[in-house]
Formats: sequence, C-alpha cells, structure tokens
Amino acid sequence: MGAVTSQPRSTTLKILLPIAVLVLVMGFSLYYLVSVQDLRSQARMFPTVILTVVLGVSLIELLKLVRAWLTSRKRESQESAQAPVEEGTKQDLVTPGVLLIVATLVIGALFSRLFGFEVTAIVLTPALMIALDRRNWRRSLLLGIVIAIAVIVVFGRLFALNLP
Amino acid sequence: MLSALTGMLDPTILIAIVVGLSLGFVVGALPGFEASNAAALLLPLSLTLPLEAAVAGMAAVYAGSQFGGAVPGILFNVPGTPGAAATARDGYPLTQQGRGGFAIGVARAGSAISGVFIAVGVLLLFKPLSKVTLLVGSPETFLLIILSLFMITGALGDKKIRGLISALLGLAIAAMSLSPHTGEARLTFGFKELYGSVPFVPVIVGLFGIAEMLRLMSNQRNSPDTKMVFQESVWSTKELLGDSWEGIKFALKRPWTGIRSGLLGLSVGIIPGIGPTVANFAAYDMAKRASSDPDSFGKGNPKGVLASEAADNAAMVGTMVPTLALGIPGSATAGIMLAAFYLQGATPGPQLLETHSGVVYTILGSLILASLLILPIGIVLAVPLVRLVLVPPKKIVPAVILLCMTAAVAVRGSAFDLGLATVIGVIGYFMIRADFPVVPVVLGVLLGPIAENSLIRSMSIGNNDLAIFWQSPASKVLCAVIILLVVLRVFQAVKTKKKALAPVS
Repeated sequence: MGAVTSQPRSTTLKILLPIAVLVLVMGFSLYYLVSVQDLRSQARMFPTVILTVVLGVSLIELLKLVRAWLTSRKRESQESAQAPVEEGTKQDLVTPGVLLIVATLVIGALFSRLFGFEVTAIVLTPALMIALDRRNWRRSLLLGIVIAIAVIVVFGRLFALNLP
Repeated sequence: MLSALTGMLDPTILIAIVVGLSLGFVVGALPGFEASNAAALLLPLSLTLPLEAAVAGMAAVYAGSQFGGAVPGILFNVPGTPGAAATARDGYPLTQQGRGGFAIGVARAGSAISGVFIAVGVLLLFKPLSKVTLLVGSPETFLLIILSLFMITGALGDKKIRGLISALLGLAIAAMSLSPHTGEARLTFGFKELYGSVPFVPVIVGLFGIAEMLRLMSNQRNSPDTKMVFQESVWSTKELLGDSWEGIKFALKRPWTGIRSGLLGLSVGIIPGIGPTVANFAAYDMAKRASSDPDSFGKGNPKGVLASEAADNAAMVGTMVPTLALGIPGSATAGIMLAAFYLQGATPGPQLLETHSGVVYTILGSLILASLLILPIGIVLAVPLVRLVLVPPKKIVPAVILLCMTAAVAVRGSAFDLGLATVIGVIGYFMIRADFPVVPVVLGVLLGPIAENSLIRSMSIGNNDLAIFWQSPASKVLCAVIILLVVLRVFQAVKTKKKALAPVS
C-alpha cells in the first residue's frame, strides 16, 4: 500500500504493535463467539466459521510474536551492558499530525449531526490546514475555505450527492 | 459487443476517461498515493453517474496512475508507485544523460502499445470466456472466492498469515448486517445504521483514504534530493515534447519488446493479488536476459524502460479479467470498481457477463481508449506532474481528508458513516504500521456477501451435505487446487523453518 516507509523501528514497536492488533482481533472474535446464542443457526453460521478460524490463526501468530518478543528482550538485556537500547521511533506512531487528523474526523462526525456537513467542512478544512501549517496561516485559511467550497459544489451540487 | 463499444463514445464516458486519466497521472506521481486511494474517493460518484462512466473513469485512473508513477521515477529516481522502481533503473540514468524527455516518450509509447494490444486481445477473448462462466454455479463460486483469497494472501511473501487474518477480518466485517436469509442482526452492536447492506464505502474510504493519510502524516519527509535535482534541471514542456517524440519513435520501432512484455504483464495481472509491481520487475528482467547487451541495463538502456512500462499497463488490464469475468477482484482498485457495481444494484460475479455485458465491454473499450490517450495527455502533463511531487504532504492531506469525509457521508447522507470510516481508518492505520496488509480486508468485505450467499445456496442445494463442493468437474478441480496450495504452503513453511534452524557453516 503506497510507498514503503524507510524509517527503522525499534524492536518493541515492531513486535508489540502487531501483538496489540492481534489481541484486538482475538478479543473481537471471542466477544462474538461467547456472547451470541445459537451459533449454528443459518444466519450465524458464516460469521461463526470465519471468526473461529480468525481466532485460531491469530492465536498461532500471537504465540510466534510473543516468542520473538521474549527472545529479543533476552538479547537486549544481554547487550544493554554495552549500549543503551534506543526507543526513539516510538513517537512515529502517534505524531501531532496523526492526532490532528483523527480529531478533525471525530469532530467532523459530531458536528455534521448538529450543524450539517457543509458548515462542518467549511469550518474544519481551513482549521486543519492552519493547524498543520501555522506559518502561512492566512494562505491556509483562504485555501481551506476555497477547497471546502469547491468540494461541496462539485460533490453536493454538480453530482447531487446526498450530503447531510 | 459492437453497440457497447460505440456506447463508449458517449460524451459522459469520454469526459470520465479524460478526467480519470489526468487524475490517475497526478495520483501516480505523488509518492504515498495510489490508484486505489483515488478510486476510493471517486466511489460515491458512481451513485449519480451512469455505471459505465463511473467504472470507465476508475479504470482510467488506474491506467493513468501506472504511467504517472513513472514520471518522477524517470526524472528524479523517486518512483511514484512501487512498480515504477523498475522503470527508474534505466529511466533515471537516461535523465542523467540529458535524455529525460526521451525516456518519458519511451515509457508513454510502451504503455500505449501494450495497453491497446492487450485490451483488444482481452476484449476478443471475453465472448468465449463468457461460455466458461456459465459452468460456474454456487459451489464453484464459493470455492473460487476461497481460492482467490488464498492466492491473494499467498502473494504477500512473509506476511501470508497476517494477510489471511486480514482477509478473514474482511469477511467478518461483511457479515456486520442483517442476515440476507433470515433477517437476524449480526455483529451490529445495536447500531440500526448497520442493519442495511454492508457499508462498503466507509470501509474502503477508511482503509484506503484515512489510514493512508494517517500513515503519510506519521512519516513526513520531503526529500531534499528531489528539490535539488529539480532546481538544477528545469524542463520546459517544449523541451520535453521534442525529446519525447524521439522516445515514441524508438518504442514504435520495437513493437515486439512491448508486446512480449505486455503478454508477461497480462499473465501476471490475471492472477488475483499479484499486481503490476511484480509484472514491472519480471518484464525488466526478461528484457535484460533477452538482450544482446545485458550489461547496459541499469545504465540507461531504453529497452528497460519500455519493457517495464509495457508490462505494468498490461498487468492492469489483466486484473480486469478475473474482476469482470468472475467477479473476483484482481487488485484493490479492481475491487473498488466492483463496489461501484454494488452501489448501482448490480451483483458482481460470474453472471456479470450475462446480466451486464454492455457495461463490461464498455469498460474494456475504455481501457483501449485510455491507453491511446496516455500518449498525448501524458506528454503534456509531464512538467506539471513533476512540480506536484515537490508539494509537501501536509498541504495535500487536508484536501484528501475532506474528500474522505465527503465520500464517507455521501452514500447514505449519514454522519454515522463518517464515524465508522474514522474508526476503520484508525484501526487500518495501526494495522499498516503493524505490517498487516489492508488490501485483503477490502477484498474480504467485497467478496463476503457473495461468499455467504453461495455457501448458503450450495448447502440448500446439497441438503446440508458438504459433498456438494465435490460434485461437478469444475468444483473438483477447484478443491484439488486449494488442497495443493495448502500442502505447498505448509511444505514451504516447514522448509523455511528448517533452513532458519540449520547451523550456519
């Protein structure tokens, strides 16, 4: 998907993040399999089979990763006498840019229900552009408003899409 | 077929192709963006445009992005798409020799020659192919989907298991709705908004739009080399046009290289999940081995550029074969095109050739037209594309996020879909950073409803006896292939493990 990132990751991030994703996936599968009654009904047969296989395969991958993590921890503790282990790349996962975008989307979803999508877009787009480029805030403000209006006109009016 | 092809000359379809091609060039040139990102954002437009125009536009985006990725690769050694790295191997040395325009001309003509030749060939093969698809019933459809998901995950190298988990997750997401047979709610968590059909668009926008933008913002880099090179070598459109014509003539005098690479690209593209990237490198290697001067490759041999570009456009056409003939998407972008069919109420699958043959032939015809238009539009847009590469991601991302938000809400006019796209996008971002491929998730979501319907229908036909999946000759072949692939995978895994444990001599 897209260009490959070239920044090196610490062992912790490389192993713990996939473990976290697998735990999330397994939690989701277990929640369904435990909470739902009559898993063998025609309606539930398909998701039951899929999530059971997901649980099994995820467990195998989780065990592999846990073993790799324990091995790397052992190796790191042996090498720590010589040099400190760096954790520098941890902050790449949640950068200010990432947080800004998530906040914009969450606020966008909430505001769209209250004020409508068009108003939300005209407010949030320049706000996001200014937040990402504070030095040229006047240009970002103007550009953000122009882009928002252009998108609303093209999608909402020209293509008559159903914007809330 | 002829009436469908003449239908391609409809102004709406022509405009969709030209706009799609131009957008594809832009998307391909920008590192970090791909055709699937653009197609995801254009998906809601398929609600109001005629289906042929919407899908032709997406096909043109796909075609344009393959070429668009080559331009920064040739001029700056910064490929816009992964496959363009093969083009850059000889494209960039040609630029360093002052022949950047020539290389672009070779790339354009190579794409055009193979695209037209392969698309015409596929178009002519579709009618006999439609007879084969009549043999595909519910059990065969279910087995085909299992096989294609297996093959797609098999092409992921050392991420096979994670790809399989992603694909299964996609199938599970597809079940997040009312059961189509009994009306019971499944995995809806009490949200009435999930009672309807599977929310394709928020899932696609979340994974291909929002997750990708989050990834870009987590890794902001502006390559100083790119800026430096551009400032040192300023091209005018006139200069590029003049040199490009020489490149086009070079490619036209060597049609066999283009066609051979195109056939290799087609055979790679037909296999779901392999994609144009592998085709680029495979064709490059084939051209090098077939050359009388293989040492010149990597130092500015235009045949390397020609082979790579011819193969990737042909592979893109190849991905359309399983997509349109069987309803099995050959790539992420092809999968999004199938989602457009869903939005218009058409069910993709082996019966698509019967129920929507006009649309299928129009799509193939638009690929021929797009391949021809790559030549003039590609040359004219080369310099503006180059300038786009230098725009920092933080200036483009807000506009793309706005488009993601618009695309997410536009289908049902519901802010809930934006929330869903955000949640899926954040999960998708963590999956990408954790090395879980997200393309199988989308393919799982798209194929899930077809898989479930086929499974339930098959069980009804077979009176709940699994032997139904071993009844017809076609299903026996499919079962055998699946079992063979499983055995090969296990064998490969055991071999790899033994190699890893073997003492190093």
